[in-house]
Amino acid sequence: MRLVERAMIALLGAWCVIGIAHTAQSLLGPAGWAAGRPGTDAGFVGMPLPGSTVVVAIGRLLEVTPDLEDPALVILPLEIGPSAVLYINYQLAHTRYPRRVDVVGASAPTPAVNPYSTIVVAEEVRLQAPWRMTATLAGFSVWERPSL
Amino acid sequence: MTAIGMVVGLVALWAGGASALSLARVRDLTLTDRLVADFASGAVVLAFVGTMAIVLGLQLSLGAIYLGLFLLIGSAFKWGRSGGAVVARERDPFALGILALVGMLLTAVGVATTSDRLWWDGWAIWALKARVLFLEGTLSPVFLDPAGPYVFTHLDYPLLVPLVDWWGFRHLGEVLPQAASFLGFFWFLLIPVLLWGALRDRLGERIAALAALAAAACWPIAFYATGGTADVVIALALLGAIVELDRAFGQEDRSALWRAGMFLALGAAAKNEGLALAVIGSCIALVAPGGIARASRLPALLLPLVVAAPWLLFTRAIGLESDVLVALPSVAEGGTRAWILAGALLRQFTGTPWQPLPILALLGVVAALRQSDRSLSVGWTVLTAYAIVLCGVYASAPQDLPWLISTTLPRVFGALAPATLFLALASGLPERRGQAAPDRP
Repeated sequence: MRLVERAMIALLGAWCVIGIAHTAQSLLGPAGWAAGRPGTDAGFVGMPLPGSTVVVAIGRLLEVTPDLEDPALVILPLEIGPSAVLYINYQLAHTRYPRRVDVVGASAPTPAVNPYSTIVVAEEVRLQAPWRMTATLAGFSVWERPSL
Repeated sequence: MTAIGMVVGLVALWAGGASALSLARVRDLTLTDRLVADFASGAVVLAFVGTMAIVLGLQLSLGAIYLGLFLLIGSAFKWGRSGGAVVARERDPFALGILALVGMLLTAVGVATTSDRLWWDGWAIWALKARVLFLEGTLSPVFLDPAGPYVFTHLDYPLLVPLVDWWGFRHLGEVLPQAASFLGFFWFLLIPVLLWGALRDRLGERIAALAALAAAACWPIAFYATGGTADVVIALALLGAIVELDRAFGQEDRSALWRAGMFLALGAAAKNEGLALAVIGSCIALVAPGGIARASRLPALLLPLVVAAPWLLFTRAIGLESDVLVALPSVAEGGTRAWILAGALLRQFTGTPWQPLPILALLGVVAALRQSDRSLSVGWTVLTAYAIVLCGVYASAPQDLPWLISTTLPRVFGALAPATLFLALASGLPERRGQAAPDRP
């Protein structure tokens, strides 16, 4: 057998060994089997922490006001970085569809609230009347505007 | 019940694809090749039918699709042709041992999909559109509005992956992120199967099994596949097209040319990059020297464009455009971007688990140049041209390059790996045709 052929087979074998080790390592890590990560981290894959817990909490709060017609606004606190804000936006857009959920970070300009009937903000934030708080969970509160 | 629904859905898709290929009298003969080509063909048929329904403003109907499916299957039984029976062959125990390892590895990755593991684009683009299709029966107007709130879902992307996910959701009766992950895994599963089938006759069972193991152990592809993205479909389409083009030009096999067209159609129906791949593959296969007359190649090579055309024309007509080819940068800026991209590619392919691949590819290219194997040259040309086009897109896209590199490079260029592996091994290792009992009559 020529040297080149031996080299190719050796490289193929090396790729198998490296690949198996890498796959095994990855499966045991947080992006692998569910068993390898805490149960509270559902939706963790690619999610910058603490994104998953925020998504779960906001999802539950939005269930308190299940008005599918009006969009909801979520204003995330400053400590959640822009990358996580984007991912939370994507996950909520998916999990809450057909309800439209717009997510912004606290550092971004707050959009006009007119189109929204529901707003989720950090628990310490207080909105003025006619908004009224209906529930709190995991550091967030959900506010509703009574129908006119 | 959940698992049974998914199995029924996959089998139905497979049967539809098998019938379509059988009716066209281009169904392959080996079991493993059939498994892959039939499923890919079924997905292409579903994508075409589903896209046409959406474009025409009709509701997607499982019942109507099944009616068409039964007609297709019935027609295939009456008029179709699947070639001869598969002939049993002696097995290499060493290869069987490697295949057992492939099975274990794939099982482990498959088990991982039972947990919630969609990744960014899985949530934001592919599985979201599938969810909309499930709930609305079509794409609601906000998903066709370039000024609407869902622009981040890349409204212009083709719909094969969402439609296959929708198919899975409808058979489950609910929207399960895990189902989208599993379907991504299923696409991934087909890659080692295809590599095994493509290399077994050419290089022997041991090398084919090792190649299948290398593909199955490619975590970056598995990661994004189970994350619900469409890149794994491009990886399969590229590999399938190159394998079939090799058969078409090496054995002057017209049915292989049709299957190559079908794999290119799979890419074109899955992602915008796939459309570029289809154009490149079709053009190169049309002009390449070979025994099949150029005029008679044309119908097979137009198939991907026919499949892609309805969605392409519809989206352009309503103002949905790709966000990567909007303006060309200056030469200096393009050069800088190309330099940064080259560095990123070097880092990626000298990092884990890719390290052996560039050397394998280099040895394969050198061997191919020395042998001047015409059929493999077609494959190398398609692969190279596609890679160059991808580099051109990165160099010219308006997006922030470091962001583009960090979010897309491993999956977009990782999709080239299985086809590169096939071409490198086929070019660099001696053929063993005739040593194993042939299973083609």
